[in-house]
Amino acid sequence: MSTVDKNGMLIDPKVTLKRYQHIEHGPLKSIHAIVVHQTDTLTAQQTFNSYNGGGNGAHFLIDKTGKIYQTASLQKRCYHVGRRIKSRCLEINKKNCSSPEMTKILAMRWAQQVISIDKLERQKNYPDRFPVNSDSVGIEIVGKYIDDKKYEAVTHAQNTSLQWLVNELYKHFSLSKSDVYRHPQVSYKQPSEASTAAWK
Amino acid sequence: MEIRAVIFGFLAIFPVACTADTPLSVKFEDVYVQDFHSDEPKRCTTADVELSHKQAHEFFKRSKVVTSNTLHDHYEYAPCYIEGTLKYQSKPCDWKIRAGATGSVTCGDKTWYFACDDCDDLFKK
Repeated sequence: MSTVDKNGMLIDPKVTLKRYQHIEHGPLKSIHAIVVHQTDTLTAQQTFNSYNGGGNGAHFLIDKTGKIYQTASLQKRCYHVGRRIKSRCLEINKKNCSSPEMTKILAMRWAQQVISIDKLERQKNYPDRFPVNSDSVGIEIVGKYIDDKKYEAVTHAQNTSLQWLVNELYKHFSLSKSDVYRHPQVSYKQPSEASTAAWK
Repeated sequence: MEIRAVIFGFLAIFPVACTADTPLSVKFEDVYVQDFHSDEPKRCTTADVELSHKQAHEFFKRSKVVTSNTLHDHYEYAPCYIEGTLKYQSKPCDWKIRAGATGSVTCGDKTWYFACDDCDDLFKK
């Protein structure tokens, strides 16, 4: 089994440590969930080049071959979820979602709904809401968004590595399958992102 | 003779340099709205992206061209959009404008992505 060292790095022969401090933005005080992404790049190197410039990023990256890189400390927050989160209630528990406030929000135009839902959701704690940057780990899978239509399929090797990685994170942070999300479930992203990623 | 050659060389290069700075969308012509689509018809409706032909053209004029990565990282992906046709350098192209003030134009095998930070007035009901 892997270990997590004092710097928040996952120590195991399967993980190559390639930390980019430019994508770390303050402390990550708790880890309640995992969000699975795709990079919209053809290679891991293209993502590393982007990480050198700072900004958005995630804690792990899985290359096409299945090679796992840790790119940020598990003690640090990364900008990987997005600015606005969706309503967990609307997306999952639709029957329990009727409230005067939600009815009012759903009558707004779409762009305003996004803002109002985010405001409402951030008053809640996980798991009543979807995960946010400050309580989740991000895993990027190398894969390009093609022809303004869909992300390329996650490879078998990538899914094998993803399963190993989430298993390790389950153990270290007392998580389960229900705490792992595809990026478009949580925030407003292209629906095919990570749609072919698979885990148990 | 040499000076004349330099002047001719400059004139040959200058139009290229000049057009390189011209926003892509300024060259769009015949922008027409043709259809609407929503993956969430109850939540994202025609009223969320009710743009006229002129407003659709205006959207592209006000937008900046961004990479698909920038669009993904910094803008919300709306489940509904209007779509249509335009001409770019006399070639027919297809476009989409999403309710989140993002868009794309596809001409043959080339796609450009757009985001507008100053288009709220175009999307108001």
